[in-house]
Amino acid sequence: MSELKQKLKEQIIEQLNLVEVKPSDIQDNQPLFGSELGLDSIDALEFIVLLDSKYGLKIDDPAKGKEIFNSINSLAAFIEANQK
Amino acid sequence: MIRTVAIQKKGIFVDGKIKFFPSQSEQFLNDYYLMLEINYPKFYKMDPLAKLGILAQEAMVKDHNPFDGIEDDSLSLIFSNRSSSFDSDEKFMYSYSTLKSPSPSLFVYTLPNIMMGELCIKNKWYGENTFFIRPKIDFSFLLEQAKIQFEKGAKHCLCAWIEFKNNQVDCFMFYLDKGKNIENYKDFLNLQYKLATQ
Repeated sequence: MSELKQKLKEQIIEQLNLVEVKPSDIQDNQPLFGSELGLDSIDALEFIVLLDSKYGLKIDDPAKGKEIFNSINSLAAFIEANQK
Repeated sequence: MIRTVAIQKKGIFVDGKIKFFPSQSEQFLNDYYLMLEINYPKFYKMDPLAKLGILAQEAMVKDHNPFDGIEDDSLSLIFSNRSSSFDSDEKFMYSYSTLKSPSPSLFVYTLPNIMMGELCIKNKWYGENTFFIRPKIDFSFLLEQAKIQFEKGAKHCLCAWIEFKNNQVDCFMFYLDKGKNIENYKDFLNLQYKLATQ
């Protein structure tokens, strides 16, 4: 799980062009939105693309997006639970 | 008052004087961001047009800020270029046709007027903004549009020609306050542009 979290941090930094952010700057339980990372609604769409392209996962219920994208912990848990 | 900034192959010119020399890196826009000591991480997510708009405006305010104290709805933006958002259009097309993964963050920049939106968001400006696709830089046209904005109630105008294609930059921005006979600035602006480009 910790390997997946580290990989997720690296992928998020690359996909969202967070040039000034290092993986160690993102805490596992830190809210990804509304925090100093400064992510916005376009970044949320990039998360959806990332989940699809890197992990083959789609979010069937858009209402669950907020919960899934809350933190690295919740993202990793979603991937672990749904990846075949 | 009139202020000018040019970002060209030769570097960044402010009011006709060169202030920053270009790096040879392909990431030269990011290098300028560091040189200008800007603190706006969203910059890195922007397309080259929006980056150029931010860089030119930041270069303009570095030593003396003409926007200090102006009312937030009294400034009109009048921007122009030849190739629209061609660079971002191509990258977005590549993301969906070749990579089969259309990128939302590229898609949002597939209109050239987005750079004005980025400037307005960053500076909390609420005035009019207009973007024109034109065959070449034309100060008579930009000054005519500024005149129209002043007649409609604007007190200041920020005008720009910002072109980015095939990694080539042609950026010239000027700020002017409402005044009489602004068309007389045409020769001055042409001279400032020539200084930076020839």
